[in-house]
Amino acid sequence: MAKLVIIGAGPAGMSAAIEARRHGAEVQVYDNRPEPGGNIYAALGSCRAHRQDVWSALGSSYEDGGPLLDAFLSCGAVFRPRTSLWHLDNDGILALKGPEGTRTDTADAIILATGAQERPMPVPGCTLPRVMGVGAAQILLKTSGVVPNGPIFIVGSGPLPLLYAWQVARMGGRIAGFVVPNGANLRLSAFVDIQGILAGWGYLTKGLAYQVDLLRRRSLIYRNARDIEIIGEIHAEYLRFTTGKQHKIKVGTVLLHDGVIPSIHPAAAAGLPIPYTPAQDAWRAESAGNIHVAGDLAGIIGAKGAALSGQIAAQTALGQTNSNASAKLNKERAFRRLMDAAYPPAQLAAIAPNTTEICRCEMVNAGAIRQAATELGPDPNRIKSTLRIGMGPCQGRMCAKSLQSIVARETGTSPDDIGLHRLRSPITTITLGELAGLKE
Amino acid sequence: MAEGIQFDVDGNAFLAQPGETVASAMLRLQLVPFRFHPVDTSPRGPFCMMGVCHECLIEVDGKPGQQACLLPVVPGMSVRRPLNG
Ligand SMILES: Cc1cc2nc3c(=O)[nH]c(=O)nc-3n(C[C@H](O)[C@H](O)[C@H](O)COP(=O)(O)OP(=O)(O)OC[C@H]3O[C@@H](n4cnc5c(N)ncnc54)[C@H](O)[C@@H]3O)c2cc1C
Ligand code: FES
Repeated sequence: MAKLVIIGAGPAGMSAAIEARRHGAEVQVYDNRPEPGGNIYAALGSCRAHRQDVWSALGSSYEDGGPLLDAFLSCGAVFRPRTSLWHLDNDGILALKGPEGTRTDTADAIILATGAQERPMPVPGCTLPRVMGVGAAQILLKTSGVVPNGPIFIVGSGPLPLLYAWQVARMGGRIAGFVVPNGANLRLSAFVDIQGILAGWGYLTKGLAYQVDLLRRRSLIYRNARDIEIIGEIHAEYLRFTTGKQHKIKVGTVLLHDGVIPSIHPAAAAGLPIPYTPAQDAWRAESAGNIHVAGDLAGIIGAKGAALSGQIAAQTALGQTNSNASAKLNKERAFRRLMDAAYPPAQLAAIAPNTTEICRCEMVNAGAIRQAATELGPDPNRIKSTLRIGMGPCQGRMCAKSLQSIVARETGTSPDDIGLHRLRSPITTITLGELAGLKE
Repeated sequence: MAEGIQFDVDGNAFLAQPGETVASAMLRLQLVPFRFHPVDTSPRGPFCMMGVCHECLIEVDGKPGQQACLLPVVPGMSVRRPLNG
């Protein structure tokens, strides 16, 4: 019996597991979070069981995950939560860190479905407590039913803030205001791809519904904002920006969002190809050998597409012929192109003031990066070894993308030509004691 | 909160809900900052809630550097915020 190891239990990883079990494979799934579900279905199991009010407020896009979660939990795959992959070599040996310490595993084929993270949107003051990602606040809502301290201001754009605002409203809360950075877009406006519109019709009507509801609730909306800055001593207290005139607003919480990007770190450290996609302004991973890439990791695709791509990855990994999932996945891709065009990233990193912290771990600001780029040229590895940027606990997950944007702009290089800095295992924090505890 | 899970933060007792992580419970209880940054002592709290940013590092049951957003609250858990460096 072939053994398949899947990393990530979002829609892609869960679908891959279900499909692989259908073909009789032995399946082991690891995810670093406490519950399966990934981003869209984060904490679905405990929310459904224990937080009825939240469950009904989150809406159908969340409820839709119930059947998938149930099918995953009963498919016969072995699931280990709270277990991170920190090393993967091309012989198919995996090193993992979980509640019981470090362990290794082997597989005939591996599916990486590590999904997405929010694109970091560095502005001055973004390291203060009570500043979070919009997606992070949504995870807080799903895991805890908590709407953070008001007044809540969202800085950014994209479908996720609209969905979150709608979910908060259904919890009886309110987003006090939206600050839309210059160059970003709050609305679905670019109807550029007729195939995409047809493919995504269901999504579009939902998107419009969120907007209508949102406007009805009269959040303040500030467009074309520049010089955005968060101010506070011990946590965020004020949001300052200009829109032709100066604004300084008292805030309880600031939520940032500039779209989502693939979580490429494990794939990159395993040596998989990591091409840059200009349309999504992001790196993504490609399959190689017996390591197969699925879901948002292969390029942001959304929940439905992620599930289809997980199914296809399992079929490919097990040498089965692809079902009609491929045709459906193409439709999802067409819709995604529309979304990408409708919500271009604001890329605030490229224009961040020199004092903005870009690397939160080693405290490297935009000014230091600009100076290094001018002196050393655009090679991210030279900049990294000089500034130690990307060498702290997060291993560059929070700064690699911003580093690329800043260096591209500063040196006049195309982002395409600025590679990801070299990544080495371990790709997560691991102590010498844990390493020593590894039994092969 | 009928099914509360008892845990403590800096010696004070609190209740968590089933399925809550240490980070989400502490945010609900308004316990920020989580720590001060070792380089410049700037205050920090959870940013990503998904294990990416490492801003939520905290001491749990005597073990420092734990990612609070990935850790479910369990009965009797003892959390300490390393607020004095
Ligand atoms: C914060 C956030 C919130 C989102 N919310 C929504 C939403 O409400 N609605 C919507 O339509 N779309 C949402 N999205 C878009 C979302 O990306 C897709 O819809 C979908 O979740 C992608 O599925 P996936 O399986 O590819 O990856 P994901 O759902 O991202 O799942 C990947 C899983 O892999 C795990 N993982 C990552 N690295 C490792 C590692 N090294 N070791 C072990 N496990 C690892 C992650 O913790 C995660 O559980 C959200 C995206 C983000 C980033
Ligand atoms: S909040 Fe980002 S790692 Fe925990």
